[in-house]
Amino acid sequence: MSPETTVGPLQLSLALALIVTAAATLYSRHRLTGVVLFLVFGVFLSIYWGVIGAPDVALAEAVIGTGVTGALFGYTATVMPRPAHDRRGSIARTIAGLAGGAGIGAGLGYFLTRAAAAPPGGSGEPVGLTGQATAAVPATGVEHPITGVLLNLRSYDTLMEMVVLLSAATVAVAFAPRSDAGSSTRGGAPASEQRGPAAPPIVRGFVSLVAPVVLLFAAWLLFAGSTQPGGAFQAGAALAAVMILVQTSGVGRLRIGPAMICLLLLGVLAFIAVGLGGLVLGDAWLLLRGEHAGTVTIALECILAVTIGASLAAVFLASAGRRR
Amino acid sequence: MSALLPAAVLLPVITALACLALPRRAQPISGFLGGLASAAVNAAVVVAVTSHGVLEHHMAGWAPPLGIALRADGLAAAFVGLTGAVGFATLVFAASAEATTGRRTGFWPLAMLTWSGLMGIFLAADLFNAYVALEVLGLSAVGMVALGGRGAPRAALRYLIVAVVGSMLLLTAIGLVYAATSTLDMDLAGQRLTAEDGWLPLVLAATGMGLKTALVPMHAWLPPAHAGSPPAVSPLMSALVVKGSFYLILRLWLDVFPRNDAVALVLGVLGAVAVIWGGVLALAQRRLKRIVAYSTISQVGYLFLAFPLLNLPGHQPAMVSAVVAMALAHGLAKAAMFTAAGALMLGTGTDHVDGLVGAARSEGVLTAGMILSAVSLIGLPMSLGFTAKWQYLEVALQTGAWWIVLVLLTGTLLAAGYLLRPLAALIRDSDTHEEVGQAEIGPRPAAQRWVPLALGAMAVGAGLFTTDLTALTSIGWG
Amino acid sequence: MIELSVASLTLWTGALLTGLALVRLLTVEDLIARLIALNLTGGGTLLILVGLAARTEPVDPVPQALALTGIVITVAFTGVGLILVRAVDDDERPSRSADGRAHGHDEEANA
Repeated sequence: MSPETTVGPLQLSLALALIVTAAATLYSRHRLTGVVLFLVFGVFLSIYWGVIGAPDVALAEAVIGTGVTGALFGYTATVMPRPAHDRRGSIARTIAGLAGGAGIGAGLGYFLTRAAAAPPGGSGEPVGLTGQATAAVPATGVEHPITGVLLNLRSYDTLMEMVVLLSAATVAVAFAPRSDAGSSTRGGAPASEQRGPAAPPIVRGFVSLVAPVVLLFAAWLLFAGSTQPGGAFQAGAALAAVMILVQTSGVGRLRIGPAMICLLLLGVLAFIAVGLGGLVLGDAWLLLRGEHAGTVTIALECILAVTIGASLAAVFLASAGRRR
Repeated sequence: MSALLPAAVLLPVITALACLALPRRAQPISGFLGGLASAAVNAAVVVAVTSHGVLEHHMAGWAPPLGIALRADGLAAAFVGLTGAVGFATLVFAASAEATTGRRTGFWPLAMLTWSGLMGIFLAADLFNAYVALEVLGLSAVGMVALGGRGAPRAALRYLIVAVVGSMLLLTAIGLVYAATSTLDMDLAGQRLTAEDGWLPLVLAATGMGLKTALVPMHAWLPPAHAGSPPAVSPLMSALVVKGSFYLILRLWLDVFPRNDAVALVLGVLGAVAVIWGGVLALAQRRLKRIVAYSTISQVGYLFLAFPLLNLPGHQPAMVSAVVAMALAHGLAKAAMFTAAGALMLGTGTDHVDGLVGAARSEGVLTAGMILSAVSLIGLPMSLGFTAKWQYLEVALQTGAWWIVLVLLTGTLLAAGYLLRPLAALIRDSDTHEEVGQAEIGPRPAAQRWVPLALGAMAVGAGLFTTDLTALTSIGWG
Repeated sequence: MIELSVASLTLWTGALLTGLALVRLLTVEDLIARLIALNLTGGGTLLILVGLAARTEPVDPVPQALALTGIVITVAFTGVGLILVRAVDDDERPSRSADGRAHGHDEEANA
């Protein structure tokens, strides 16, 4: 991003589109409409990230923030399509909400831009960490600075982020739909109904074709991450997308069983193992330098991607659950 | 030595992984063993800080500002110790019967992830890392709340929204601090942040953490989440999870943000309102777990009441010691109260105060634990709760902050009022009150009797070690 | 056109998004709409985060890495939120009237 340049019409219209679709999403009267508008918003947002020079964030927003999140919302809104019958959802209320929100946003924006305009530190402090981070990246064994930050300089953050995902996956396991009809205490829907309607053959055929392509895309994202935008999280989300497609189309049956649980554990376990390795071979947890650093990073990213994919898929399965 | 710090964060995670991999029947034993090991690491951190001073570990070998440091000073060590004691005691309680952990699996891994999140916050020396650890804590705590009975998912969902909004406010604050100081390291940011740049992130962070700590008027989410949780979850939520977000705002207040009297006053006044309003609400409750939950709102008020006093030059070390004593006293006593309430609820099938009449006759040990806990919560002499309030009182009197003296006294009376009623019901002999029968209480496993007693005894007994606590909290600064 | 840097535009967009979504988050009753509002608040917050740090050339990789982390954390919370929405639905279904109309469900949400 070149901060000094003034914005062109593209950036400005994208920003406007973001605000307008956000308002429309927030105040849509039906769940499904809201979800569709949310997807549109997500597309605009990822384009905006790309335009302002943050391609990694753009990719993550597209695949995770819009793709996987959209699938999660979409499925729930489809099986629970009851309108968000906001009884008092009158025009007056909508206008009041928009006005209040815009007011708060304007206040926040005013203070934020004022804060950002002040010269940082004042006494010749470096602006941001760009220089230091770029200088340190070669030691991490990867070329792409953001991957270097995520998996080396600030790898502990990424480890804790994996723990956040593990927490979500644990909740998914606790709320996993009971796949055995016998053990389900309430509802007691027969097994065939639990699966929801099977997609028509053409859809299943399409999914069988598309799934390998998306898998390839995931692999590309993973390996691209060491030199250019992409990485474990984007690849993991693409993996999750494949699993969700396979599940919803009826091509395959996934369930939160022992195999899935193993995949959920693997990433954090491997990460902690790398951390311990750093302590034993070096003198700090997670220390990763030298000639093998790049290889270890790529191997770790592969495992992380699998766990990220499995975690997101498990969350999807638990939220899709057993329907009437 | 400093390599202990990441171990304190990651050992609970490994325990959580083991619990997740095992079937529900085997989870208590692995959780218990992992909890024991984690508690030992926590104790080791406290001992190491006491004997060696501040510990600091540079993760991945990168020093701040580029890398992330973990740091344990006396303040952090005190909370690390609290987590070890309360966490382990609650795990023993949870291992006593499956019914303590709710109707679904998930308690053991989620409890250990909560533990890990807490350690991550207490040991964080990096702003963004503290945010990520806070999210670990928030999400695992939401999961634990959801394990409760009917109504728990809705309470958990409400708590989730609160948790996310609070973290987003914090994240915006962190962005502002980074923009102003070009670093995420707390100490460096504290050195570089000017009063001019500091007020907006302070307001945002204080609002966010106030929301997550249930500071009045942002408290309405707490009672359903804390009272509706399974018996083994409520003590963790109230004694520890609430402390996570409070610790963070205290840490930022002391290390990062420039002094700001206006914000201190607002926080103090809200704390004062919380002490009184929370107490009044607790008086109005008829169910034991809800009384204890509303009491948390009141006790959180005391924590925020410290901010105006923390700002006074010359009194800061004394007030840090006081607020730590207050947090520890509340943690220990509230864990005792919630484990006791949970055991009574499992034994009688109700936590309605009228349904507990005469329970002391068969559950003497448990009742003794509740009495000790109440002694500390009210703040009767010799207990840790007393010494904490006494330290507040000293500073307030020296500086002429009479309103704080008044709040302390009123809060003490209110606590006596809302705690004596359920205790009186337990002790009351049902013969003299024919209209209510004696509570039928099923035999409780030994752990459910002795854990509340042990925690209550700690809440009272720790009052004898106030000087050691003051010495501990002063390590590393001031 | 007014002098407006990309960083300021990003900040303003993020602030407006956050404001709009936050108000809706706190007022809407439908649980799914609430989770969508939560996601938009998250998007706004990340725009603010990157907009605040966008003052260098080339781009500072640290705030971008933070934004990536933020996106992943948001999806974790959203997923758990939707699991809970389903649990609430299961929890409260028996209390719904027999004719299948779903009143008494969404409007219970408060705060």
